[in-house]
Amino acid sequence: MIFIQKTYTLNVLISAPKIPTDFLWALSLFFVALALMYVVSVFFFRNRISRLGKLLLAKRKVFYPMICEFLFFKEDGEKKEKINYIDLKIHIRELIKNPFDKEVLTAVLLDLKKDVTGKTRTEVFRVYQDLELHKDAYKKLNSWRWEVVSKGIFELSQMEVQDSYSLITKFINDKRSTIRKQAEIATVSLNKDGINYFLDHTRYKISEWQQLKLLDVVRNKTDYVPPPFRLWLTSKNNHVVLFALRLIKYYNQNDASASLIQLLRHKDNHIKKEAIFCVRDFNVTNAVPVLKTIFWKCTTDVKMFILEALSQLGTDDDISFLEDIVTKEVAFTVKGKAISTLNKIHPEGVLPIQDIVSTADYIPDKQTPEAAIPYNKENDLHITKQEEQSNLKEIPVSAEILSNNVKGHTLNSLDIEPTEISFLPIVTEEVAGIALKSKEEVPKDENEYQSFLGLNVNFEEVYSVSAAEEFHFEFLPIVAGEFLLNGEATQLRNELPVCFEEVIVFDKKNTEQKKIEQCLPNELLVTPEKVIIPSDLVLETKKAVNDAEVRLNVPFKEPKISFSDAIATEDVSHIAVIYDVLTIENDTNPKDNMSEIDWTTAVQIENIVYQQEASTEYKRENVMKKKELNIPKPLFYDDAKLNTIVLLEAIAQLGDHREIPYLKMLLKQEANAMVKTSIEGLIAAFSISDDISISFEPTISSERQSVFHSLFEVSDTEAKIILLDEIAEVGDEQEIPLLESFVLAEDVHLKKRAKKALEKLITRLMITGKTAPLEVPTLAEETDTMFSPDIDNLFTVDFELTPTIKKNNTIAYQPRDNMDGNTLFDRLCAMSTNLYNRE
Amino acid sequence: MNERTILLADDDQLLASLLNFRLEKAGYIVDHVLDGKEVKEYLSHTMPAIIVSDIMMPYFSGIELINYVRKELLSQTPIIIISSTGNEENVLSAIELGANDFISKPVSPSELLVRIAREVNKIHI
Repeated sequence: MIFIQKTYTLNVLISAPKIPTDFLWALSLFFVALALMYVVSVFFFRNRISRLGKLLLAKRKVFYPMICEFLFFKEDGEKKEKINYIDLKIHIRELIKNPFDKEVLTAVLLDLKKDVTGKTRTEVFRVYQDLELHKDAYKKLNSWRWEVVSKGIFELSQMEVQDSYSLITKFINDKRSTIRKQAEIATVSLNKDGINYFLDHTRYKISEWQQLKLLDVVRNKTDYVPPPFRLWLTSKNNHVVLFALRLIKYYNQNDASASLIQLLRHKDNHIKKEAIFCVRDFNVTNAVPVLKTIFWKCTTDVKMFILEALSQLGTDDDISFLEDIVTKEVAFTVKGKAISTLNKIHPEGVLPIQDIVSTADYIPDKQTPEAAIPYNKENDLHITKQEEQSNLKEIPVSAEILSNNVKGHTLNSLDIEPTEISFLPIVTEEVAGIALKSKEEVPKDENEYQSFLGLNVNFEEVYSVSAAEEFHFEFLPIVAGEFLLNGEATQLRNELPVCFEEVIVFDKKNTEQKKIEQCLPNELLVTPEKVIIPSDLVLETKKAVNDAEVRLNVPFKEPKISFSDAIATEDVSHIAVIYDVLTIENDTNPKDNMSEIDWTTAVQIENIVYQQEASTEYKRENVMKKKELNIPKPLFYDDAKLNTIVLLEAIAQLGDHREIPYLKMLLKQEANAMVKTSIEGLIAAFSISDDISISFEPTISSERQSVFHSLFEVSDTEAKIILLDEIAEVGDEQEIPLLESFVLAEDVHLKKRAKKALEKLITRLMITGKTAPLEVPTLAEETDTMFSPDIDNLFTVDFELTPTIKKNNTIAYQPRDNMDGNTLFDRLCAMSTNLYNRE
Repeated sequence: MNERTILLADDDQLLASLLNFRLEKAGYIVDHVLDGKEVKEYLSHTMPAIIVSDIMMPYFSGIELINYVRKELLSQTPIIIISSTGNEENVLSAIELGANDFISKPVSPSELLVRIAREVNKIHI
């Protein structure tokens, strides 16, 4: 109950305010009206804007053709065009009396200016000023509204109204930033010296964006010569200094080193930073001490830039300074930059130290020596991991080249244990083209060889490619082995026309050499300059080889050199095999190791002696004489003779019978029998050819048919008549048979025409002297009264074509001159000539 | 197809009317269309001697136009592209697709005239 009472009491205290209903209704109506007003205003303005847009578009469409007319009007155009232009101008002037139209026209021109370039753009500027729209822009400059003033400045700068420059410059220090910025750009763009004026006069901040825009304006100017921007490094406006520094960097004006160094100490970090960039880019090394001085008091950013500059400008002298930075500097980035700078100045000056493990950790544990590793023949060609590791270490191996297959030569002892090099391939070198063989090919004394080496190892053979490449074998004689020597000499005589030589290394003092000398009584000592020509030499090869101890056990290879390649000689059948033993004088013992052969001395020409073993049947002198005979000797002529020979060759190729007199004259003069013979041959050849005369004598037969013949074949009567007339005018004697055939034709009309043409042609030919007077055949009708009716007899053509002059040794045919009788002048000339001849 | 008929496709009416005027003055018959749809409609019944088209057009870009002409219509009609400065990538792809020439904005009408004349000469050759 009590609770209820309390609740009731509280409820009594909370009571609804007494608001008059009328007031509420009024309030509601107000807000509804407000909403309506808002909606209506939105619609109104929206419609207004769209209507304005439409109007604008309509106006623009009106102006487009007019402007086009204006832009492409030519002073030297047609009169109609000029009248049209004047009418248009008047019309536009009336239109732009309306401010709205003027605005539209200005907007159109501004748009057009953006879209076109070149001459058309210049025309746009001209039209703008011609229609005095710039004056409207001037008015805008006086407006109290900043946007209008700004718009006016923009118009004038866009339309490049130069006269507005002085008006716009006033706004450079306008307190309204929009106008000021617009004025700055206009000042710089309208005048070449605008940037100077701007930098001199501006007192306000030049924002980064504004600097970029100004730079864009400046760099797009044509024929712009930038002023020395160092002049503004002393400006009291820090923004001007900063902008000047950027312009200096952009235009690479590196003539302001002192000012730049001074600016390194500028309080403003932006200027300092820009100065550092300039110093770095222009490589101002004088600035290094200043950079080092200012370093400690700079901010971290500037320190980074200084270090960057030092990396380019610094020298070894600056290393200590950089090391100081590394030790003293707290900032992590600066420290890192200092180290990188150090490494740039002195590459690899500072090595990585972070997280680098001490080298003591890399000392390897005692490993099992390789010698202790049991040798496994099967694995020696496979490189195990252990072997790979061992390959990384330097092994003091002085293994010498083993020429293991050369019989009897001494091999050097190895300084290393066999097991130490068991993993290595034994390298053998190809000496003098002798292919060294592997163990399997080691002949005969294998045991001796094994014991000598003391190496119970399997090895692979590696041919030294480089040695083979560097070694030239051309100087060496061809070497033959026993196989060849055992062959039958007689067989070789015909089958193997190859010159074989064997190389022997010997000592002069060696007794074995004496043996060779004894067995070669007819040894042929030939100097290298002489050429040995194989001849009828029969070799006692086997004996010689047996006597001469051949130390180079050369495996025989089938000789692939053809005889023609090896020796130039004509008598192959007489040639047997020449077995030349090349004895190389060498101070070393012939039993020495092959590797000890001094090949450089061996190839010396002085030390080479060719010994040739020849058959006793032939004496050396005779052999040499024969060889010499076989050598083709060069045949040299004196100049005169050579010229004559050349001339005769030319005559032989190009000459004809006309050269005979000249050849006869030469024959008389010439003393040399060979030349004489050739001249006589030529004369004979040309005389023969002269006998074959070419006869171009025209025949009446089809051999020389008229060109009209084919035309007549395909022509009708009318065409034939026309052709007959043509023949009479232009025909030649070869047309006469054709005309004759028509005279005998059945068609009377054609017959008459043919007769006339024939008469005319013959007359013409007579006048021109081309043919003898001919008896013109008469028609049957005409001859009835004159002769008997024997038509056949009547039309027997009793004429003969005048043959062309035929002379001995001359070509009978005389080509007809094109002018001959074809023109009136020619005919007259011919007539006069005939008359003259008659007289 | 008239040898002097040019289809000018550009949504910029001012520039189009200017070029139209200049080309007509030079003796060409110019048909101007404002967007890609109109271009397609026009090409469905007429093939001009030369097409001069802006790259950026509503509905149907210049690149698509080239593709349409070359691959669908299989026509080798010379196409000259008008592009804005800094739109080199589009120009490159346009030429790859088969555009014969291009001219960048701001346009010099005289230059365009020369280029058109060159293409006309090529047709004659």
